[in-house]
Amino acid sequence: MTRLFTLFLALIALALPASAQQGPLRIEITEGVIEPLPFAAPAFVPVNADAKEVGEDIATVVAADLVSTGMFRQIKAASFISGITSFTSPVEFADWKAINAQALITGQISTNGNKLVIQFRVYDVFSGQELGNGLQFAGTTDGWRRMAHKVADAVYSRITGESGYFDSRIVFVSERGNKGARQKSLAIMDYDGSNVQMLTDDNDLVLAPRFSPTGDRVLYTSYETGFPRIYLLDVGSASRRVLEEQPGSISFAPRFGPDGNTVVYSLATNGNTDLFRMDITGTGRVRLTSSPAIDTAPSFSPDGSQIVFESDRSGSQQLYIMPATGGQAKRISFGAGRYGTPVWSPRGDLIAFTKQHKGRFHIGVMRTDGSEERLLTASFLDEGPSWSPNGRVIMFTRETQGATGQASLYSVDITGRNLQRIRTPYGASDPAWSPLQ
Amino acid sequence: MNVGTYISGAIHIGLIGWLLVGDVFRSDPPEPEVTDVSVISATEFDAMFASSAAPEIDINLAQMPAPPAEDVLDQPIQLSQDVAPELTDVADPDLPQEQETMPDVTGLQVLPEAEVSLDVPTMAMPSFDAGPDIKIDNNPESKPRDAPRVAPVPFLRPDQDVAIDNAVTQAAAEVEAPEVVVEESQDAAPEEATTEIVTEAEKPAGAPTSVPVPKLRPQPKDDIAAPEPSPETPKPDTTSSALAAALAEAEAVDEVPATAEEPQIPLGPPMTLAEQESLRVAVSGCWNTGSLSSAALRVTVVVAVQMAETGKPVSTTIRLVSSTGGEGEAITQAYEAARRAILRCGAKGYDLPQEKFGQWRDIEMTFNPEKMRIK
Repeated sequence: MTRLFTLFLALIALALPASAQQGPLRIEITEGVIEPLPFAAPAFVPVNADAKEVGEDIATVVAADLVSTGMFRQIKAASFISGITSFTSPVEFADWKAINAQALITGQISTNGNKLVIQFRVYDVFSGQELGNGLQFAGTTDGWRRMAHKVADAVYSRITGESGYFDSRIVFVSERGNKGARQKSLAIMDYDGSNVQMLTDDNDLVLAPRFSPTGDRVLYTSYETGFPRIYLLDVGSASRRVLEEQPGSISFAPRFGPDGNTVVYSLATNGNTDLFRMDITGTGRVRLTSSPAIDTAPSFSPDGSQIVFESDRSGSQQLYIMPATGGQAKRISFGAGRYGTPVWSPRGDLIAFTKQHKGRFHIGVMRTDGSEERLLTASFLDEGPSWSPNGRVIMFTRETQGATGQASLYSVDITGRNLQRIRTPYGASDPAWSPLQ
Repeated sequence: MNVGTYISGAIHIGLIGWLLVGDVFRSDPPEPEVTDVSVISATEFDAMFASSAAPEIDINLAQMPAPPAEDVLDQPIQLSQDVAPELTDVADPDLPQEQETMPDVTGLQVLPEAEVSLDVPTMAMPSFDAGPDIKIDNNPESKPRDAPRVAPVPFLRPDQDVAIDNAVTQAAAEVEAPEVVVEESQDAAPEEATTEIVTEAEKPAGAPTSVPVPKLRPQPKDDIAAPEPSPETPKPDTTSSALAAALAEAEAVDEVPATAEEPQIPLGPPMTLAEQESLRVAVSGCWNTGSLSSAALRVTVVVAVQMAETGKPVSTTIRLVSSTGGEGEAITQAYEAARRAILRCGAKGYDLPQEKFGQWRDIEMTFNPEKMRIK
């Protein structure tokens, strides 16, 4: 009875006027919705007849880039009430509001021989305002796809507030053949799986390619001589050279430092694996760890002051952080299972890793102090995470089970949503994301 | 507006008084029944008090002369089981009552001692002292004390009385001024007209009687009453298709500001918590943080918006009041997401009480994405 009476009083209090307010009515909103933002990207207006086809292609690629993030939803052209027939005419926002387009991308394209010029604008439909100023890109018609990625990067940046990652590339290991006798070669492609090009032939086993901070060079491990060796490959010319060759030892797991002139890697000598660093010229080698355990998979922090790596010095595979010059290492992973292949986020706030626990593999992230561990994926075999240039997406290798299992590339948002497979002509593994070009 | 405030205040005061005096939150108010104890013997009384002092203290209140109350309190507990059930019922809620009533007991003992009436004359003395001071009329400066209260009115009257008659003629001209004021009151007249028009719209058959007043506002809703005012300006009622309706709604958001500024806004009674919650939920439904960067998701923004009487936000009035937790581009993105939320869900107008327009015309919304943050 008392409770009912109290409830009755509460209801009365809810219905009664609130205390007299001074000034504007104030409310606080703490919960919203998380859903893709609907946008419209009508075909870019061709200034001349030759530009019509490429205008449609560019709008298609821009929309595909945005949709692939899982943060945007494209409104199909069939829903448009009115199109964009002139880039300079005022936008009829009411037409776009009516179809609930929250963002509108308009543009025009002109071609002159081999030259291609793109102009575009982004609008916030419901406020009727342009987001930023219009931009113009100029290039060649052959590079229309990359220009489209740049447009998408600009749109993404203006709406989300962070830089994009569409104008970037992936270097990976292309795999052909059965599981027991796969032929592997280095390949490079756009982030979305297009424009695949082979960098090496498939005569030798290659592993773990890593981009330089400028994206023009690649470090990788090759068994060309029968033993693993670190190679440095120039992407433009496809020329390469051995970076570390020490008789009686094997070197692997190389990764560039943020300055592009330093390399940190693992070197195994007499059955013991430790971390070393050296200049990109192959000189100035410095030992960073000295323990009977296996220390490998090093990765620099963005500022170059620290290195995260995996080690089994505690008895199981765990993650450690130490100064970039070596010294005392601090363990940061304490969860159940084994941790490996740590990679520092470009933003510096997270570390991605592979975790094996109870027969399952996971891609996860944690703070640099090991806190707030979150597992993003789970499968028979997930491994080798690589960060997108903006630190928002992680690409990794997923291999299916069984004798016919095949490795593929997947990407996932750091929120754990938008898991997508990257289409490649063959099997693919060991992805490494380039910086934004 | 004052009437509503007064009504609200009266209800609040009544409710608070009810809560304080009416023993609302006491589950069991049966203590007064313990007055029977007054008949109980001293030993029983002691035993009963020892088990639970709270109800007995009330008894002591009834028994003013019981000076040995403290001695009784010190005696051990030997309560007869007859009284026990009453005490167990009240046991839990009485815990605070014991502490409240205990000082009353001591107060009762002190009171008789303080009955000395010597203090009373001393209290009266200063009042008499003040009296003679007031009686001193020698200084006319004492009157200015009254001036600040009623200064505007009395000063005007003597001016008119003392002033030369020449000014009176001009004052006659000022007499017309009140008529102008009355014209302002005509603003209220159209409101009456609107109410009538609405009823006419609801009852189209009885409407056709001539009404000369309603030229003031062309209302698109008056499709039925349209035959009356033949000289009406053409109304763009192209709402036949859903598309046109959507476009009109979208455009209406921007058209609102012109009408929103003109009329005097009735403040109305304060918004209830339920009404505020309704608005909060409505805006939350359109606050999409899915496309925000992690940096923008750390920014809390306060956005001010002015609403039209239709419940639609006036897009041109939306502005960023303050922000915390970020800087630069992140603030911009957080603000734009908030602005989109306000405009999107307000495109058809928020469901707000019309009579309280003055309460929700200006709104400040705080968008705190703490729960939406990427962890």
